[in-house]
Amino acid sequence: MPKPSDQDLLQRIRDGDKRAFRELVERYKNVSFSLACSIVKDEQRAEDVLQDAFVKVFKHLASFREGARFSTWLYRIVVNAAYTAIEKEQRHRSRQEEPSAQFMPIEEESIFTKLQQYERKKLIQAVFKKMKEEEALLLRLYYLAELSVKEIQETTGFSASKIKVGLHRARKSMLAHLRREMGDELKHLI
Amino acid sequence: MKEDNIKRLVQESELEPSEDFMMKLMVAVEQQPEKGRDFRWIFLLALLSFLALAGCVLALIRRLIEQGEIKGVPIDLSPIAMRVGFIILVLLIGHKLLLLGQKIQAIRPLTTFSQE
Repeated sequence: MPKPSDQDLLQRIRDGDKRAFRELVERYKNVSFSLACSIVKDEQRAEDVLQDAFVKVFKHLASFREGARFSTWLYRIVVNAAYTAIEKEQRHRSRQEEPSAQFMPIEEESIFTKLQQYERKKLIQAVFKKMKEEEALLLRLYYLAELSVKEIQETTGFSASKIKVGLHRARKSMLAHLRREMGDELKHLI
Repeated sequence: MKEDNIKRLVQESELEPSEDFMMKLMVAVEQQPEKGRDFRWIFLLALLSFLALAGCVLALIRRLIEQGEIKGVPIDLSPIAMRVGFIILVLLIGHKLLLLGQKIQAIRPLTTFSQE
């Protein structure tokens, strides 16, 4: 049976169908969670952000424009919720070091031990956590959520030139981080 | 590095929320207070106003056709022009009413799930 479209699911949610809401969340939760993690750099906080975002989506479903792309709308809500969470955190945080340096450090061990301990995926995820939030976000919006530059503009409010330059820098930064962690072993990863 | 390789690496960075995320989310959604408003009364009011207006215009046209004047002021309009004008008016307002109905349908309350 073909998967129902987003529009079908949205209509069913408007009619009060709980399962349709679950299905919609299942469809987008991983990408949305990855986007939130790119910004807040902490999985527990990213989960809170994601929950806020989906509750907002549910509450404001009526204001969603028919014919617009749901994913772009959702990702915009997730990105805004994540930046709001960071601002709140910064207002309340005492002057301590950045949290990004606190979690999931990649230990100074040999490459083989690293690859044994953390799977390849974990290593890449750790690299993303070390990257600047804007760079990680742009890479994930472009390659993971597969949005166009125009859609990223709608989602983030950045200008097209900022997105293009940001993507270029983000690619270089990701490779630099990978190279730093893996050295010559990088060529085996790619 | 090739674009495909970068894409593959980024896709491998995809993360998953914890297993109980969905349960927590559904609880949070269910706990949302009833906030939506029902605007159907606006549509009903508009419909009644429209019917009243149409009735008045129809009565006015009949009177003009029969007497050719209103309070002693002669109005020289052909009955066909008046009827055509009336139909255009009805279609125009009817179309606006239809759009209003659709808008109201779209913003009806959405705060609880009725189906499991």
